[in-house]
Amino acid sequence: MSDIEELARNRVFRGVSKRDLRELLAAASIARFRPDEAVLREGDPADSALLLISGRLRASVRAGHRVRKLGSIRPGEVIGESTLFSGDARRNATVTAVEASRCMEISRDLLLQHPTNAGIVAIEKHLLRVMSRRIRRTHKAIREAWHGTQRDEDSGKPAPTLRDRLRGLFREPM
Amino acid sequence: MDRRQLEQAAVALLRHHRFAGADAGALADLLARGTAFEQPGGTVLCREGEPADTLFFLLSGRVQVLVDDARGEQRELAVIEAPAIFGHVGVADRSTRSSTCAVMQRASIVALDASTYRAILDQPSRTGTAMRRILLSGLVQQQSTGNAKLRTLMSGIRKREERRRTRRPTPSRPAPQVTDPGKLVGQETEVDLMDLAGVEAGWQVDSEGMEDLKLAEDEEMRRSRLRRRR
Repeated sequence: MSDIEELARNRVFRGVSKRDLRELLAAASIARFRPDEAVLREGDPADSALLLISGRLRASVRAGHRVRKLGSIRPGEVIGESTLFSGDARRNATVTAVEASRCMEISRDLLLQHPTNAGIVAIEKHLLRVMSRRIRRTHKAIREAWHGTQRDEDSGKPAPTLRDRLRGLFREPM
Repeated sequence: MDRRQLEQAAVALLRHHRFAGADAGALADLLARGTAFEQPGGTVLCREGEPADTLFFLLSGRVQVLVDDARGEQRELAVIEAPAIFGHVGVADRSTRSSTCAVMQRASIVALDASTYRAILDQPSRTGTAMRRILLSGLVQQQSTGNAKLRTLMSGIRKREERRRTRRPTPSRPAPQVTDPGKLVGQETEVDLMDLAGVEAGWQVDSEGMEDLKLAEDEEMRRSRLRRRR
């Protein structure tokens, strides 16, 4: 399947014309990764975001001398977008290709040079929704953390461990 | 507000929200679509749980962000200082207010209603671009603030748990026979630190197939902002 067909199938670009997608693909860099190849490395300077077009990626962070796997990234997801809307930054996780993958690089230059492209508008709208949901989850996590603190103070029962709390907050298999 | 004041407000907002391809003229046009007003300290602008029908550009003054805790008591989540944007989370995801916002110090505000927001959202115009990008920049800052708060809370919880473990084993979890209890505590702490690492790095995993895994490079951004201020 061609890049343009992959993009057209993606929910982020629903309703975007093939002409706009073609223009977007012509302007953006497409990076290809083999299985197990590093896409981003923790600590590297960050100046662009990546939209996964096809394949699957895996994220991890270092914790002491061990590596903690954080989860999978699927087609249509954008990583590193904070870099675009803030100051300079460094990657705070390592992302590796699980299978052969293709990513579109979304740089500031791309946004500056093609602000009216419907594909760019679609990416920005997608990010607004995703980031709003993320902030809502963070607020929920803060509320839960406050709640946990109060429960510790109120009851003599053994309090849940931090591991339990994190599992509850992020529902992440641990 | 006249055009010159709107342009000055737009320049101030853009200076505070780095990036991103939004020009001051377009942002001033966006502010002109809203309703400008001033409010004295103590005024509640929006309440947690209410439908989100307006987003706010804070042009001067300060606003306190409050969240109800489990007991229904309000706790301070953050203090927003002008120039800033707030109230956009609920408007962006078409849901209710995630917090209560109250004016702390006389504030000059431009309110943009949700219907205007939605009319502009899809526009590939300069005004549409300015709105999307200034809001994204605001969301990144808000996420960074929230992550910092969460890290502080988690760190406090972790320390309490470490202290508890070193004091006594819980009846439901008898301590294994080890020759060096300090070593066991160290091992458990390491596991917890690993779990915390994902939160500290700004990663959050959604419950539904991990579809919303995101990289929020918040810590580096915070440091970068501090460097710039210096």
